[in-house]
Amino acid sequence: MNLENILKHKSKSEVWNEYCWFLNIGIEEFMDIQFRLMEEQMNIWLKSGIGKIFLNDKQFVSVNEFREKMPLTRYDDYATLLESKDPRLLPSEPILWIQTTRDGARGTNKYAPYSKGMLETFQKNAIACLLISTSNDKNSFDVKAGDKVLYALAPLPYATGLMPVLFGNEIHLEYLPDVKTAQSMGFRERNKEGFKLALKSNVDFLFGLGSVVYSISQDFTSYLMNSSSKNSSVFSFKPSMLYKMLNAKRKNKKNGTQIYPKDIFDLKGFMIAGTDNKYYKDELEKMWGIRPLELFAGTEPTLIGTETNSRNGLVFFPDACFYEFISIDEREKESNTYGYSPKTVLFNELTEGEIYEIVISVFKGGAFVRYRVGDLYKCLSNPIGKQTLPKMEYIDRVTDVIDIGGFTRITCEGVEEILTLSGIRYEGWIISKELSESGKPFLHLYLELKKDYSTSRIVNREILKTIVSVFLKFIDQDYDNLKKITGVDPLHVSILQIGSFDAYSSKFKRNLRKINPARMDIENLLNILKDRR
Amino acid sequence: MSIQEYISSFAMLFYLFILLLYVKSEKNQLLNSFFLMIGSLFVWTSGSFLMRGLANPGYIFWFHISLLGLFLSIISIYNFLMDYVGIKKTIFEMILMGILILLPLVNIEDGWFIKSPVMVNDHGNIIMIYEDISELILIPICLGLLLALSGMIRIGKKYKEDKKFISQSKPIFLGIAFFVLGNLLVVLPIFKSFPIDILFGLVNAIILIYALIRKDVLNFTFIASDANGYFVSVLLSIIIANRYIGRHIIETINTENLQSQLTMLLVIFLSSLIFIQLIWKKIVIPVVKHEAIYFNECLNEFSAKVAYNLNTNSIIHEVIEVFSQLEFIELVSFGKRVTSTNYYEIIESSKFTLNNKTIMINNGTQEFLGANHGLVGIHELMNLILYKSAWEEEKLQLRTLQMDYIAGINYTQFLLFIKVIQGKKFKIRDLEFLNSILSIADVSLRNAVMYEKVYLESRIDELTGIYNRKMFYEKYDEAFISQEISTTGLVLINIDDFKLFNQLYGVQNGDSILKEIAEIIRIETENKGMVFRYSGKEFIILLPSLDVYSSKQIVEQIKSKMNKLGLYSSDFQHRTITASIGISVYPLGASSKNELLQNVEMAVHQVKKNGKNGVMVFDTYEKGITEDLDYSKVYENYSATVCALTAAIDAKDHYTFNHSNNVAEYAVKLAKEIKLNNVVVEIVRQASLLHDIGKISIPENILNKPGALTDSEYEIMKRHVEASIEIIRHLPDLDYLIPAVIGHHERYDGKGYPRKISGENIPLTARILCICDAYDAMKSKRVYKEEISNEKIISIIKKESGRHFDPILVEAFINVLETSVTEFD
Repeated sequence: MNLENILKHKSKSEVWNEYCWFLNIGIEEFMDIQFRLMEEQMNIWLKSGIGKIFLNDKQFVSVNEFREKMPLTRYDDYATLLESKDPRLLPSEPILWIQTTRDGARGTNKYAPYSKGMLETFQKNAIACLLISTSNDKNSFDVKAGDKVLYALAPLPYATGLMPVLFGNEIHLEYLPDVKTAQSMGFRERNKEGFKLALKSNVDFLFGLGSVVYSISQDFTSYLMNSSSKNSSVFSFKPSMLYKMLNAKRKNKKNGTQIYPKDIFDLKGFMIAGTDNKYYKDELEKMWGIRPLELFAGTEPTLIGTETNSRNGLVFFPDACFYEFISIDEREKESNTYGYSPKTVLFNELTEGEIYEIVISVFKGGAFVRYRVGDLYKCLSNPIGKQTLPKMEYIDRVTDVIDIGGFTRITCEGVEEILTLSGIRYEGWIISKELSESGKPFLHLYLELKKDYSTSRIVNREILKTIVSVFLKFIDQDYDNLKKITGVDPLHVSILQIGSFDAYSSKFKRNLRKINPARMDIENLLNILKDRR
Repeated sequence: MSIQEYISSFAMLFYLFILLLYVKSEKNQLLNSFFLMIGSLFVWTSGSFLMRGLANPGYIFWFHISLLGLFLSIISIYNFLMDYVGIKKTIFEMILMGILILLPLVNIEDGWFIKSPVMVNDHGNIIMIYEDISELILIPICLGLLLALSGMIRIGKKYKEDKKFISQSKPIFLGIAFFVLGNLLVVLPIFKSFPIDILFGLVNAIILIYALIRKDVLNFTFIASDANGYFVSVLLSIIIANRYIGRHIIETINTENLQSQLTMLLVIFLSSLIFIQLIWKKIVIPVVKHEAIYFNECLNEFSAKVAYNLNTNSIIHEVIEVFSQLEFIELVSFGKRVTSTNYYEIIESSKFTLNNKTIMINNGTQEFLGANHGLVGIHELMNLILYKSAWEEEKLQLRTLQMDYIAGINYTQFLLFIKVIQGKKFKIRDLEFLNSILSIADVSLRNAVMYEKVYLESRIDELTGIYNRKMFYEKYDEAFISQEISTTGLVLINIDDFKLFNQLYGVQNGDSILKEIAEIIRIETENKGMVFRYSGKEFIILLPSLDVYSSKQIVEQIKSKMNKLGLYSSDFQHRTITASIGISVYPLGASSKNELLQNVEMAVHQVKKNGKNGVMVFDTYEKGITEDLDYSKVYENYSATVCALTAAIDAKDHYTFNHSNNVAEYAVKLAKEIKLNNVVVEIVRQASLLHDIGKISIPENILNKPGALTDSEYEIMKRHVEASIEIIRHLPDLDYLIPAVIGHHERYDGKGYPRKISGENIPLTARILCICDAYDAMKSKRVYKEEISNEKIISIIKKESGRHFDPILVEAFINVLETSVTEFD
């Protein structure tokens, strides 16, 4: 039975328990489920071609033994195996392949096979998110067939494109615009059309990347004021929508009051995905009148977590992946000791307030085991012995990758490549993710040019920004999308005084980390020559 | 009686009867509400009936009772509805209900909103006319509507939360609709003299009873009790008698035939009492309780069958039998956990399609089923949180199995699966019955499993983990029960110089070697036969349906693996492990199971004597010898010992010495006559020489007593057989003679001694000795008897064929005598 039928035949509490059951369990049950499913995954993975290549037919009797002996993995370990898309290598037959851009600047893709079991779990958990997004309390939700959805996320083969397909197996939802029409449209065009349709007949659910929805919502006043019914008949609007629109426009004209989407729309559920959502959530709530529910999904890990109805931290789905965590100390040890393999801890071993890098093994025949996704999470609470799950908070990508708004992943190699291609000759550079005064993230490139380069041509911040931006867009399609979709250019360039990096090295006897160095280190770099003077 | 009276009195009796059931029925909130409603309907109906019947203390009194009953009925129906759909009443509703109860009481004083009706005689019919209805009647009507509205809103809300509850509550709404409709229709003139309100109230009650029975809340099987039977019989008999009085007695009360009328009345009363009792016992009880009776009988029968049953397969079979007889069950299967795995093999099913299918049930599900004794719906199981961690394989297999219920038995060592016929549903009592069966089966299976475990443990060798000698004999007997056509191979493996091995490398190493050998044999004979530890250093392999060639092949494999044992020890190099192995196959090489066993023992002896480390296929008869051993020398070493012993006999008792020599001579001839192989002939010869060696221990006065022996003397004389065995047993490596010697006084008909065995259970060599021993004894002249002539002896031997002697041997022996008579003389 799918959600639509269940809604007809079962009580709300039964529906809630069917999909949101994980909110009723404690950490012990959570760990039991984790271990049982990991045992299954371990068995089928070890027997698969990929498992044999990694471990050469070794067998393990327990999950803990597997954790001890199986090394941690990264995408590079799987790249050649997965690029062939050979189903014989996989633990279970892939129903579809999801892909995303791999290490932005390189322009290659990452592939992840999705088995039937993975998709079923994804589907159930996605419906749980749908229910929770409309819920303020246990057993209370408001979802029905025919609800209208404004879906501002990338289509298949990206992971975000799975949602409409999987929702469709469970319940009929009306997408604005409908999925077929949307497929032939660009991202901006699709959103624009979606809003246009929503203005006519209201919208029940909004689902998108936090940064994109924020960007669209910000321009809502001008969008609404400029949009007129000249292309559509007044009769195509629902009277209530027409009244709300006219009323809002009138107020705006009369008092200059800003129009928020909440003045027009009456959302039941609001879901956002992607990174940096914490910078947008408060304002999105202010604009839409409902606090967005943050989901955590990815190409490799599938849908792994959601906020609960209290919106105070996310819980992880126990049946999606086996979760391990690397503490910051272990990460430090790893970066300082060549060949050191960091130890991992499990959910029931997390310390409140600590930040961890997540390691996942995808259940139900997934290809990735002990896989470092590259995300950092903070443990907000870990109530051992209580009937609730640990609450986590997404912090950011790991420090050697910069992600802006869930669109792009800037790595050290990527920046080197851009600078080389652009012909900019430099002594050194660092790049970091910083927050603007309004609390929004941007990329900040600190560049020390070669003396001859700076003296032989006109170089200023704007020119350098333009050059870097052009190559960044050229090489990293996602960065281009970021600019196009959100309408902002998140790149800032600062030119450092010549000799800064040398001075830094001689004073501190070490080189600076190029990606996301500590704030203090950046300050030291900026002031190094001043201090010398 | 008018139609009005009939309907009212029937409704009253019906309500009264239902109310009486309250005494014996279960008590819960819903049933309390139900009986309260029936009570209210009773008050209303009886008030109305008695009002119309102008019963004492007067129709006005009964009008007020009826009015109170009507208000109570409305409130109690509302109360019941709310309890049925599971909605708690609000304070507002409680207050409304309270006011509605008070209103008829307030009305008593001066007819506040409705005055008492006026009685009108309409052509002999008494009609009640409500002339004075105040506009205040709107108050109770509005309050009633308010209550109904509140109920509708709350039911509407509940419907939003849980849509399925409406479909479950349809009969309730229908019943209430009848009640409301009846009370609306009653104001129509057409129903002036027809109690439509009472009739529809009754319909309402019947529908609600149906709804409760369907929901399994109300169970009326207890109605069919003897006490109720008496009550109903007496009540109906009184009514019948009353009708008789009304029709006949009242008219003739002053006449002279009063006595006969009263007698008739008594006859009618008693006859109806007996008749109704009979109907109650023969029809009502079986109809109402037929399911309960059937279940009870099944339960008793099942319990009797399995209570003392210690065979798991048989108990499982009984469970499947009982379940598959039930009309709502389509398929029932029993799965048994494959040791140390999470897989269950379907071992028996009501339909063969599922047999031998394997299904995976993970630890989590097992834990749940182990903790929840009884049947669990598969869908219920799939909705459990623990099922979220079930493996995909498990989920797929459970789905493919298409069963509806599952139960764990004996801590989930067994699983029971049930498929219900499509469209049928388990009622609570069905489930209770099935669970009762399962509880009994659980206990019985637990005992049976424990017994089988102990049974098996007592048949397993502790050191090697393979079956022991005890088990061998059982399986050996089983193998011969139906071996008319097929062959049975037997292999005896005797480890060479194992005592020496223990002395050289220690017992611990010896034990490990034995374990390894056992494992080698187990692996090599897997799916072909069974291996047993026959004695300390001997393993025996039973190979049902295997021929000589296949048996030899298995043995060669075992031998080659055994020879490699110990060679690669990390600490030191062991000496090579070798074994003397004997093979014999029934019926090719042996004519009975005993012979088969003797053959392999004999073969091992021969291999040992021939230098050990060899395999020999032993055939009792000459043509079957297959190994290239040098038989001429096999027993050469032992001839000296045998000679020494015969010399000892000679010294003590010269007759016995001669007798033994004679017997040996005859026996060799007889053995050759029946084409026994040289080895057996030699054994027969040596056994003949030593068969009476035990006579050394018999006092001479008994041995050479001239005349018949007394009973006690005869008993002493009989002991010479055991004495012979005692002597031979202690001689090195002469134990191969024991079967012949110990059985030479056994009779073919089982009346001999010492073991009283019969027919082919007596070793062939012993049967040979027996006839030759008897022949020489008869032929010899002794102090206590004269020599008997050959002809006489032959006739005695013939006479004793099949009694004392083996008939085949008799025939052969006579041939021998006929051809060698002069020689013997």
